[in-house]
Amino acid sequence: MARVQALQAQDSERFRVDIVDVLQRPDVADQHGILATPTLVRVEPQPEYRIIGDLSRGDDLLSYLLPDTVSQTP
Amino acid sequence: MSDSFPPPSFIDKLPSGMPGVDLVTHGGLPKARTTLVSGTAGSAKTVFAVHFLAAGAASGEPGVFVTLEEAPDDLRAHARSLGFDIAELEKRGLWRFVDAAPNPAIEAQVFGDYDLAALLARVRHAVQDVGATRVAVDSVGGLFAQVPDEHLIRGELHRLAASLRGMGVTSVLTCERPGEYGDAGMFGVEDFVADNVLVLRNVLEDGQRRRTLEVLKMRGTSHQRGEYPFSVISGEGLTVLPLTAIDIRQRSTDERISSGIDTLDDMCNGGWFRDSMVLVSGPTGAGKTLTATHFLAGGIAAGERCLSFSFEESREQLHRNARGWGIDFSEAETGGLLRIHSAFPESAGLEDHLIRMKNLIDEYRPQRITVDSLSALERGATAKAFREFVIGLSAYIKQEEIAGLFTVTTSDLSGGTTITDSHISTITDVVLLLRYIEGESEIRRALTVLKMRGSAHDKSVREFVISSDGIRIERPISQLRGFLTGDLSTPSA
Repeated sequence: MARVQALQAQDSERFRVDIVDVLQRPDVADQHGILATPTLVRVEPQPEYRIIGDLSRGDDLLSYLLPDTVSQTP
Repeated sequence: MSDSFPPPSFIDKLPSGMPGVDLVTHGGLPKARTTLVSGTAGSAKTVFAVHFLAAGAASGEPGVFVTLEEAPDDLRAHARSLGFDIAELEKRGLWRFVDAAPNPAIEAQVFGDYDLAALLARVRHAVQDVGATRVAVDSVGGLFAQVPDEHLIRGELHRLAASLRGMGVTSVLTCERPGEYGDAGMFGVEDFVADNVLVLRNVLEDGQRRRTLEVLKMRGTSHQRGEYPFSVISGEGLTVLPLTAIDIRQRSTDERISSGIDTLDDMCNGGWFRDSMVLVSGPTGAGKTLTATHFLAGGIAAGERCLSFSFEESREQLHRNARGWGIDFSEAETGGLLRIHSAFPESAGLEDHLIRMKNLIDEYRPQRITVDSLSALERGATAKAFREFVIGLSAYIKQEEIAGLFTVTTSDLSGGTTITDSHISTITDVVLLLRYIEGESEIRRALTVLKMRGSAHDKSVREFVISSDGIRIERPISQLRGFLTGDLSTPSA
């Protein structure tokens, strides 16, 4: 979660991150049909894309979240 | 994983509201517990889950349906064909979906550790929101298709069950089984929600599909053992035929009713008992349908409601036959004393026939019924299915204290021993045999009362003729041998 928030801090023009606690807001989880926690939902750019799990393995977050962008800018 | 809850001193059951299920489970599903409903693909697990919730909603108990496979729209359509209007229940706050079915439009990848706290939170939220007392989760397999970690899912299902239990919710969890028989459910789920397990089967038997429900275990409470056939009928949902589980409250009565044939009443010491099951056995054309017609006419004459199940002849044919014997059925039908239900035996499975017959009996509440003939229904059914049908029907009409007359066609023209089929003869109170006998250059008819439980009766073999007034029973035939075996001859002298 910290890493996702760091993205926003890094470049607030490009990234907007909303963090939802499903225990507090189960209705929001319901709207988006979320099962697993944590789930990172890429709402924009379309199409919607989801990452389930805590990404704890130190992987490059951006390459998962925006695979197209990364591949275009080596 | 061991259960962290102390064992309860007794377990209450919540009536499921599904016909027959509560008889087999001795009162319903364990209250505030999870019952696993396990079965192969196509074994009606989803029907069970939908019916369980809809039956609760019908009695004002709100329910939450957690769908892990089918989209809510598909389920609404499916349920409508079963006779349940989910959209209407949703409008009335009696049904809430938690849609956790996979969305093929959204790509998802798993990286790292996770749990299903979101799903559990959504279920809890929905339960609290509608005040649910029932939850159905259908089916566990859908979860395994979406997230790959089986070990984690089992743990989370256990958490879900505990959470529902904590909220006092009675729940049903459906799960795939790899085969009809054998111990294990898939994904090791049976080991987790193991206190209560129902198995639904859909077995191919002699080329016919046969659905059964078995209570595999229900810890700490009693239940029926073994498989019970069930049926899924549009507009009715799931109905279990409890057969032997039906409580036979047969009150023996001394009241006698007329067979509709005076001489036959005399032979039976004044008529048949009010709660009798009568079997009329004979070859084709011997007068079985006529005997049934007399029985109906006798009821009508006594002001009793009569219900005729005809599997060989149409309503019109029965009317015409009856007219030919001087009996007017049309007046009885308009007057509400007679109802005729005519159907092709092949139009439905035996379970479906039985459910329709029960529904008609419940609706019309007859005092007499006839089934003409059992043999037509036996055609194309397996021996097991037929036995269950006969036992199921007879147990039901005994319970309702209805006088019943069943006909059976013997294959051999001169008689034969169909009635020795133990499951039929042991449950009947009266057995009437009709036979052809060969006289000098002519075929004649004869009958005898083979058995009449609890009463003296005339044991002679009597000749009878069919005239414009129907059956007229004549004098006893002496020196006749072979009536039971069908190897008949009258003395030539």
